[in-house]
Amino acid sequence: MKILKFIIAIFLLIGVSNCESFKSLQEYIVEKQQDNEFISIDIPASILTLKEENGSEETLKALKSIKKFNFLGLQLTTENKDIYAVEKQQIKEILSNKKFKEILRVKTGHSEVTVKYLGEENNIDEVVFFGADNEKGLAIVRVLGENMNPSQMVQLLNKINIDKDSNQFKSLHTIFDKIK
Amino acid sequence: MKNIIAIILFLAGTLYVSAQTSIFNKFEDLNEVTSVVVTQEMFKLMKNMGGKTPEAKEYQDLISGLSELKVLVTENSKIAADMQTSFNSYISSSKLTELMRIKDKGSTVSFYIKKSSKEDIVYELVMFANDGNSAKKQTIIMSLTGNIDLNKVYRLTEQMNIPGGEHLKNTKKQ
Repeated sequence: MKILKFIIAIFLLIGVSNCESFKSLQEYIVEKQQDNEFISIDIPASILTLKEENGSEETLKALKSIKKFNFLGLQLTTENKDIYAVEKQQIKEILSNKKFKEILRVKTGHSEVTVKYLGEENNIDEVVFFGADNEKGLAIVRVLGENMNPSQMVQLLNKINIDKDSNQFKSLHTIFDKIK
Repeated sequence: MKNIIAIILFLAGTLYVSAQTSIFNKFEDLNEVTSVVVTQEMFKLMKNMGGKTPEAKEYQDLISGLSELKVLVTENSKIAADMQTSFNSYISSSKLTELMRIKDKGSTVSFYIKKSSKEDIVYELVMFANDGNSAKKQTIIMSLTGNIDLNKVYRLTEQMNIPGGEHLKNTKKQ
């Protein structure tokens, strides 16, 4: 039985060290917000408003469950190819943590997109979109919320307006124009 | 001692399962392959969408049994040949049976299934297609795993616009 205890101890050890060596996505994003190579924008959920003034209780609840959006991007230039490769690897490692549930992954020759989420299937806490293109750069978009319900979100999509005059939206727009 | 053996067997078992699906995984990382992978999590999320009509119900029934959908597309003839070889060995190693084969002008499409004990339910549906019609000459592998109801699966291929999916409609009549 000693051997069994030993094996269990090893498994526990591996488990613990795994948790510690994982940098969280939050830590990564905060770190890169200080980095001049990266473009980052925090967008509050207030950018979204309902088309009709009086939405149903369910729509309001769905809208309230979204808290904010994070955008972090690295635009590829001739000088930062090495940084791009390193960062891409690092993000992939962070996202390979089992607590991120993978929804979808699409890959073409030089680009890839991965969508993952945190939480339970009816109570999503965070949705992460990660895209990397070997010619353009990489980007992470996070949708942070509390108990977001996927079916309510779909209904909500038809009922919201994005405040296009807000500064955050304008800066995001300029970034996308540049990338194009 | 028995416990240890059980643990080792269990670990070996998980390894074996992952090794079985890896036959298509190697293509996913190739540069000239376009891949789409939809996981069980996606199906869980989709299950909650849609209304309460009988059609939606049928759709939800189908989706709740699915584990993974994988589509691989290549236009590179060398990779295509490699895919064909891997596919052929996969058919024989995991004992898949042919469901149907369609030949239309320059294109060939074949569907294989892994049978379960129930007649309409299969554990895996694999499609291999060579599209010689278009200028691009695409080769496509599609694999869908889970508990799949063959009578309902065409609804999914319709909705997700999966290449070759239109042929599956005919399975209903057979």
